[in-house]
Amino acid sequence: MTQLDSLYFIDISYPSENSILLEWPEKICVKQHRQIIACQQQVNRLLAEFIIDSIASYNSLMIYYSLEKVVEKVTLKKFVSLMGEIIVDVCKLSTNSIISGDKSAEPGPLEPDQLDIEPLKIIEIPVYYGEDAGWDLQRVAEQSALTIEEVIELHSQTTYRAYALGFTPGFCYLASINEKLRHARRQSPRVVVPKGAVAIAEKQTAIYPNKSPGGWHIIGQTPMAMYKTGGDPSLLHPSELNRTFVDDSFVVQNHEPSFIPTIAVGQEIRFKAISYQEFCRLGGVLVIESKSLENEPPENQSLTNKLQAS
Amino acid sequence: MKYFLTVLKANGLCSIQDLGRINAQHLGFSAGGAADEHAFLAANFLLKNKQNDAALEITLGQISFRAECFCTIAITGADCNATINDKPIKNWQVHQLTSGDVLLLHQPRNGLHSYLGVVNGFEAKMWLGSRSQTLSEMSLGYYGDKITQGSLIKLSAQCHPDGQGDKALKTMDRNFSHNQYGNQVSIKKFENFYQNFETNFPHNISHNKILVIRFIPHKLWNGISKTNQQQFCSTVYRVSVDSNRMGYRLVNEANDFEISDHLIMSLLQSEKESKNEAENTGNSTNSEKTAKLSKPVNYGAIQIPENGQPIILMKERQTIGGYPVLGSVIQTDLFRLSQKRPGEQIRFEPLSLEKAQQQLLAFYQRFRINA
Repeated sequence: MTQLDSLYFIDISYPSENSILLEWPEKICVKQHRQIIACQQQVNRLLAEFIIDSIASYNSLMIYYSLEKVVEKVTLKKFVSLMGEIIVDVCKLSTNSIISGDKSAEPGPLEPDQLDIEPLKIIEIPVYYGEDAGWDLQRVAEQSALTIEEVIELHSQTTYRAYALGFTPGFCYLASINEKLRHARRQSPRVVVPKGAVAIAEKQTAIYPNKSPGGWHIIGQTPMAMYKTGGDPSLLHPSELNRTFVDDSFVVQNHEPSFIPTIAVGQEIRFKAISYQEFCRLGGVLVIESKSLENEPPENQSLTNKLQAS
Repeated sequence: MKYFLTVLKANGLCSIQDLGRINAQHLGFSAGGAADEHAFLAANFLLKNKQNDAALEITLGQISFRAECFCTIAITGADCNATINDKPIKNWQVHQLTSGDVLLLHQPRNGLHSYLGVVNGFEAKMWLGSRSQTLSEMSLGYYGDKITQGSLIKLSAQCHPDGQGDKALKTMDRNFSHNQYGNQVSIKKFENFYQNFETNFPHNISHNKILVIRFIPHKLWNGISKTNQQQFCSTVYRVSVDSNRMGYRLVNEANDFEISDHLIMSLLQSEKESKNEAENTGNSTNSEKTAKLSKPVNYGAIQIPENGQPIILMKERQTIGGYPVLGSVIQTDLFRLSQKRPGEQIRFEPLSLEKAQQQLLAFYQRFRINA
């Protein structure tokens, strides 16, 4: 653990039998997040043999490893120290203060090419911001004391960063939105938010990849799909390939359909306002708020229903 | 020839499961997989299958199947007093079905999930490296349909001699010849394959009134007072009716909200302190100090929401979460917990990370000697 100890700003813990959690300071910060993603990519690459999965969020990185493989091949102690070296190396590239111990220093900018990692392209997402598409657009404008046009402008002029994937497959948390647009989530979440809804909540904005419940404010709709399935597996990065258990141990395999999210964690995103005609031309299907949608009951998976039924 | 089981009646939940999608969390998918790995692995072990061969996870029994071909099955987990053609059969045991046989599982008296395995596993669509079905994602169309009355559940192609699996064929060759498949001679040979196999497989369904579940303490645990720690461990919780494959919600047995209040206050205090510490080393701006950022959450994480009633994250959990996490229930105890029904009682006990790791390694070791 000596290696990681030199990184005073990273907190390391072992939440379960086969996971390691790295936590950076509690803040949404592009530089810091770049460092997290770089660490994730390097660990995945250099320790691929042991890593089962890794999940990055705003200020944290969870690494799941194969306990059996680690114990069998290198011992836990060695594994942790190997990982420590990788993380220290990544952080050294962007932080000069590690050795000096200057606590006021922040992680500096990190150029992906320094690590031989391909930089991710900026994605432009077309959004139809009409009032029929943005179910909460009027209310957001009122609460922000802005006109609808100003809300649209503020939302589409920022370049956002994808900080985490979660909630539902393909749902990406983008931040940070303009301070004037920041509002708490709806008091009561909608039972149904349409596929493609562009929504905001607090500092974040996101696109609902599929019809789902949701408590964010809908300000528009996009015709763009938030993920695709299938594709040529040979074009995928090794970390994108599926892993499965075969003969007591996991192996990487790539001969089946894959899930490819449109936005990758760590990628940058811009929204572009489009007309209704353009929305339709791009294959968008506008969903207008209706009461019948609200009344659709969610699927109940509770065990009790089954207990009571029996 | 048809190689499947037909579902005649289904009242409980039934889904195809294996060990889950082990690297799909970075895509926002839950890991999924068999709720009780002990019983799941035992079914495959008894059948000399691979560990990850798909089995049926049956929740609260109440299901019947008709075999459409000869096949060898194993039943494990919650005891559903199963019968074949109305004749009682044993749980944690291998059985043979011939075409037309009816297998019936009743509602179990104890436990929740039972596993029905078959030689070489069930056939199902592979998605993200797994055949596990996740109910909440059913509508996205990645898996076969939900199992209900009339469903035809395909046996793996490797299960029958004209299938494609080379390795399986070799196994089969040892036991019977292809063209004789289905006749008396070959079935007898097949039976010999399993003859005298140990049937008293150790099960993990707890009959104790209170199940003690051990957990690995997290930073927050060390931040709360000794009194609070003792209180947490002496509290008897009940599994709430809102529990499911995503999470087990617990309610304080005595409904003693004072304890919960103490716990949550103490937790918030502890969280604040660790955050301040982090801020002193970082360069946060004022507006960001109140932010509570979501973090990846692991299988077994004990979340403490504002009402103080713990939620233990299970196989179909979300990939990230924002509630304070007190610790993590050890995986071998999560398998036991998954068999607990709403209303049943549990209590917590801390365990060191090292001991938990030893437990887990020993657990998987038990299912290894199968080659």
